[in-house]
Amino acid sequence: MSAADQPSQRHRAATPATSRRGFVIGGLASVLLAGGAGATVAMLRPLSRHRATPKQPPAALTAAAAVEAVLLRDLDRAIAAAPANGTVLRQLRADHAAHLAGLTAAIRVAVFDGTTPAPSASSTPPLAPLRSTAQLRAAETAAARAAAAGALTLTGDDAALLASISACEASHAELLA
Amino acid sequence: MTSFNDAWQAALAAEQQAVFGYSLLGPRLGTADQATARSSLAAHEALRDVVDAAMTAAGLVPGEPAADYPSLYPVSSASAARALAVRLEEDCAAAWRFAFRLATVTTRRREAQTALTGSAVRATQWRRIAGVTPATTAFPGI
Repeated sequence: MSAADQPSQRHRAATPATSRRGFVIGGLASVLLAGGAGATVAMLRPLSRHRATPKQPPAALTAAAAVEAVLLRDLDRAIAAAPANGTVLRQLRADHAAHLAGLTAAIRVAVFDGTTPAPSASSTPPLAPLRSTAQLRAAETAAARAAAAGALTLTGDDAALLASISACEASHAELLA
Repeated sequence: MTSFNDAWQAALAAEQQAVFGYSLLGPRLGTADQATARSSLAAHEALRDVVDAAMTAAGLVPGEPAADYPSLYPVSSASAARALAVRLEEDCAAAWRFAFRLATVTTRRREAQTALTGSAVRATQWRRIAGVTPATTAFPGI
């Protein structure tokens, strides 16, 4: 970092009004590109099968996807057991479903193989007992911490994806407090 | 291409805007919401000061806050104040997520992650207070 990298005073004054738009557009573009890239990769796969070698996806992404699958399953059980309290839980579930979709797209891009399956029940730990609200909160907190730690091992869009997921899960813990 | 320094300055600017914004919206809130507004303001003031000091220590010149933030007006009611609080937090979350995306130094990355999470949690608190459904977003900062 150097002082030479500093934006001008005029640029700084304009930043609050312009930066959010740029961040939002950039962020949405990242998500769309991730999904679109996955589809594109899937279409190109037959043409490049003879030379494209799938890579191992980043461990932080696959670990996070597995955590999301477990959280989804726990929430499904909690919602089924107490439908009257389901409004918040269904919202959390929707967020985790979005997380898993985003992670799955990122993993597909990382391995350059559009057929990489999403983590399934068979690849997740055995079914745990029905969790209380306090236990769900603890699970969200643990997931947030794990995602934050995983984000630090990654760079670029993958890192930002996990950082954002971590922040979301921290807000879930807040809702369940 | 945006450098981390630019993103860091933008995050500081978002924090400065939040400090201004909470001072603006606070008087419009009812008693029940005042404590949340005060703690939110304190969090942004503390973060602003930490970032300002870190930039100075790094040999950078922290950007000055704007004299005014016309885009935050008007705040004519308690509901408008709560909506503005959500917006301030979402702006900060977006700025910190972007800073995290570009940061390479672990200290700066942890700082950005913590700030992103703090704004995401506060945004959720304000959405819940405002009765906004859903109260969370799947990808804070996007």
